[in-house]
Amino acid sequence: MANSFTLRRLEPSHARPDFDCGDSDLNEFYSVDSISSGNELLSVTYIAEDDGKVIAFFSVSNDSIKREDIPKSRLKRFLKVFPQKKRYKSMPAVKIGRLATCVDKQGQKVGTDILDYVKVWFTIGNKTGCRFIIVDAYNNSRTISFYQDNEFEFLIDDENEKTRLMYFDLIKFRE
Amino acid sequence: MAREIKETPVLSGKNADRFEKATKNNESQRVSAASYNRAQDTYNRINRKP
Repeated sequence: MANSFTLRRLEPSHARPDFDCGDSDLNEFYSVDSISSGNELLSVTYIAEDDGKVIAFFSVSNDSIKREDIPKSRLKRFLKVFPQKKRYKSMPAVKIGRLATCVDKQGQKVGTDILDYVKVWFTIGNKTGCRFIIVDAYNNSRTISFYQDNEFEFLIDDENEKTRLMYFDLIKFRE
Repeated sequence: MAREIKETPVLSGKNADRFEKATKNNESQRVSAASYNRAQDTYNRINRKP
């Protein structure tokens, strides 16, 4: 059965209804850091509510993916491999800094619903251009598998770090 | 205080080349119709709720 929830933007001044995803860092971000981050205009937090209960939250920020200039010594070889007309040094992105589902609803695809929502929101529903969704994912098999199942790829070689940057290319999401 | 969110670095070297190749390849790729329709349905369902 499809999940049934509404999304609500949580302003810094709004009360934080009870929420527990079983992870102290994510819980703390929700109840404390999302307020300061919102006040500083660094991220916006949304909650998914079902029957008045917060079942998930996520925070989003503007971001971009940039690449260094290609040294002249490598440019000729690079152009052979990638002969496209335009190459952008920077492309716009949205970063999901935090995404968590409450303990009771884990394993019920609420996170997938949220990612699906964000994919549509930042393509068809978007007022500005956005090419990628970036996530800063916990480096454990459950979390990484979750994002891979949702067609995210690794951005950099950071397999030995606590979190891994992954991205979804929204260009694949056109009709 | 919760941990800081990792910054997205400026890509260089192998990371940049791999990313460039993937994004170029993605331009001719599409998600499956099933994935696309599922996402659209989810978006509409969430937006439809009062």
